[in-house]
Amino acid sequence: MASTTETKQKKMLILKSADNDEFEIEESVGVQSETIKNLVEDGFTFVPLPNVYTKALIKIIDYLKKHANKTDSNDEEIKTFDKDFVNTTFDDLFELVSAANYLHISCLMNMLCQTIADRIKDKSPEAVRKIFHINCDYTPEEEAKIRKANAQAFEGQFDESLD
Amino acid sequence: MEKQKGEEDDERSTCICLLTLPEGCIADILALTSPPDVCRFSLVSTSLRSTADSDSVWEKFLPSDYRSIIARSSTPIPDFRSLKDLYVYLSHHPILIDEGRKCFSLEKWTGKKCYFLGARDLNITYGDSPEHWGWTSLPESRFPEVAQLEFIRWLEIWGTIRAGTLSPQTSYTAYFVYKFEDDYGFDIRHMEVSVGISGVESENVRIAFLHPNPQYVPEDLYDSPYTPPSPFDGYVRMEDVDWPEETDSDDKPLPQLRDDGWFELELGEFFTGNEDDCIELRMQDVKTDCRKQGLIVEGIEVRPTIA
Repeated sequence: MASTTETKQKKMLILKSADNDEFEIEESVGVQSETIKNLVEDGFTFVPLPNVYTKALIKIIDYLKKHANKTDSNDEEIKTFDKDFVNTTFDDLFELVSAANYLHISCLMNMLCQTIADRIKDKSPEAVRKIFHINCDYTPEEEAKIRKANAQAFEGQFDESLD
Repeated sequence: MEKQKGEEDDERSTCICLLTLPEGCIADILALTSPPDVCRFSLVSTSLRSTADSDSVWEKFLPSDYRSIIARSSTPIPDFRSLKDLYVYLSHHPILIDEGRKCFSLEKWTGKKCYFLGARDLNITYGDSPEHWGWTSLPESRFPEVAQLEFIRWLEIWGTIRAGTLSPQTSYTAYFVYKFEDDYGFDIRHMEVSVGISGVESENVRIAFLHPNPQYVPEDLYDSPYTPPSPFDGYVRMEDVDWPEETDSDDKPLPQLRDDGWFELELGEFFTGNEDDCIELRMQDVKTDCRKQGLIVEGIEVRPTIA
């Protein structure tokens, strides 16, 4: 086992996605995730992630690799990387936030939540339903009641666009 | 087997949406929007509403020290079922605190703190001299007492507020709130207004009239700083003349009539970057001997600057 020999070789982990794809990454990259870190501390080197699908995992591994190499000089580069990272569809963002939440990567969670929040600000309820595939389950009477309460608290125009 | 896998994918793609996330995660996202956004999102569906109305979201919109502010309230505050109800209440019902000397409310769009320092909370030179200033109660005031000017030459009013009691990293504007019972002297005499850090001489002293329709009296009509011109002389209306040289035309605060019937005059802006800064808000006319009377002072209001 790795614990018995002090090798200079980098310790590696294998992550297994919900779609059964396996990815080998350096332990130092993986432990930015609290979930992975806890498993590593318990001696695991093979980490099954039943809640994370391959598509999201590939992106998240990219993110972890980039942020593991953070230095004083590549601040701008990482900012550009982060900006590109979140420049994707709402559906992808939700898959990523769901995975980041499961993996407990707090800086990624904050960035994704802020991105989603910024993009849904000012949206009308109708637009939010379409973006998030949510069916309205209010009766017209219930909806009217809530609209009235909101109007008493705030007024203003809604943004109907879906991007 | 292949077909089954395809079906699973379809199922998953329709399920990945806001509501498949843990509730805490949705609450985090909602708390990063704004109070009116979250209210609106409660219309999306019943399940989103339960998160949108939750205390974990609204606690983020309330100031971190809201409990201790409410504890200073002079009047009992109703029991609220939720922090959202408390937020809506505080953004529509300013509460009197500190023995009725201050008023506290929330700016409804952002939840930022607003304070209104009542006349009793201000420093008014000669304020305890009954021949100059009287204290009275007015039904149209939110405070139990307002200051009423009998007559004075040395008019000097200032208040202080520590930046740390306001919302952090926020631009605020301060307003002097008043009305006239009689505007004697105020129509021809301008005031000096300033906002700055206490103990540091303010570089932003501006001149402004409290009177909504003032007349400008050129300094050369003064016999001396201590001999003001007679108010019965015919002076020029402000719009007909150039303002005094020291006034930048873009930097000319004018009084505004508020919805509550009082006037307000902008004193200046400040930024709450350093919580230990003690901000001084000042309005005065101490350079001439002009007699003034009939001013009623409600206080100084401090609210977030509208971008």
